[in-house]
Amino acid sequence: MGAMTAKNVDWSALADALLRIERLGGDDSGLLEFGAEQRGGIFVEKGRVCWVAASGLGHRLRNLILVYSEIDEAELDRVCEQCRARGGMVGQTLVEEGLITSEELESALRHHSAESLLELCRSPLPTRFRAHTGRGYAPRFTFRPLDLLLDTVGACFPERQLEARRELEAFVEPGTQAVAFVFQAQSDCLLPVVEVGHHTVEDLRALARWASSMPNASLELAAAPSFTLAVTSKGDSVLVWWNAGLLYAVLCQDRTSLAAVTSRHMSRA
Amino acid sequence: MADERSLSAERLSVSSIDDVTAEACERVPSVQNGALVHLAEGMLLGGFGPGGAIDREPLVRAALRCLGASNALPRPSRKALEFVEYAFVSERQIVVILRGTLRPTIALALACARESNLAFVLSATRQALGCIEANPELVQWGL
Repeated sequence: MGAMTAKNVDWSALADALLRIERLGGDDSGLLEFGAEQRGGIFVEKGRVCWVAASGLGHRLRNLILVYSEIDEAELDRVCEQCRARGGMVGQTLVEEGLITSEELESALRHHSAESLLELCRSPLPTRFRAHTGRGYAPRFTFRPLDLLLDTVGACFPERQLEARRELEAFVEPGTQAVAFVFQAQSDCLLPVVEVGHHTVEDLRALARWASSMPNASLELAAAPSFTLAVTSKGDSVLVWWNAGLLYAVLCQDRTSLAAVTSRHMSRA
Repeated sequence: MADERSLSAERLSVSSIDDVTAEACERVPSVQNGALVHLAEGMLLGGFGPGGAIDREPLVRAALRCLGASNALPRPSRKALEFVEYAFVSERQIVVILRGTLRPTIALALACARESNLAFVLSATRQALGCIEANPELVQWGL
């Protein structure tokens, strides 16, 4: 499974769609439809994403389940047929019958959702949310809008995602919040690719905007900083640095974690 | 009142602000040059180090970029972060830019040698800015 292409992806529309879901209430369920002729949509259950469907990718989830698990095709077809007849949910039934693990289903679902969302955001499509009652997806198999954003960016930039994980593992203390962004030259924007801690799509959009203004000050100093530190009067701080086309931002809430991250930086430099 | 203020301003020459800034920053490790900046007016109030006012322009402009306008980090799910201190650590220098605590319209920007310890530089710069802000001559000058 190679990297998906980021070509023609309207990242702004993609983030807007996920932001729209994020702003729904915790009890809202429904479908965020893309396109007047229903090119697909994001299924939402209780404010969380269940999966994403896009026309032309209907059989892809089946293929991904075969890739991520050890189930054979005949067994998968049997469960699909059984669910079709009884109106059950294929993925959850596979897990309940012990044919695949919950981790395998989650990987397949998230991979499929990322691919489908990228396809839906390759051309400008109007979106519309249609509320309906949830189908009863287990919370275990639903995910945050931010997870889906990270998955889509990671699907397009898998090597960058690995690199960012390695860098953050080397620098970040347990309990610290950190984000790595990949710079997308085509649309001149920063896309979150790895998250440490718990954020929202809206948080990361604001953080990217703020962090991208930092180079303006270093331009005045005519120096490329190995890192930049910003501190509030209460001692909260954000450490920002670029490395190999990735922008990192680490939020430290105390002086100890800040000292740990900065000393690692100083020793690397 | 206006006359009183202009007389005070006359008493405090530009060179004395330079002296106040230089003296306060003496204890900052490996400090090379510095600029005391009026953020609202976007101008250099005083400074020290090699060269003249023109050589301190990059420090003034960087201070304005960082603290001249609101550069808060909005965090929709939490409280926004309002930054008052910045440090730029490059291969050759550490540049620190701090907003005044008593007088938030002024900022101190210092360039130090890279060998210095960042924590020491920050803490010494905080003290230096505190000394500058407490200087009665700044009050006389209406800052």
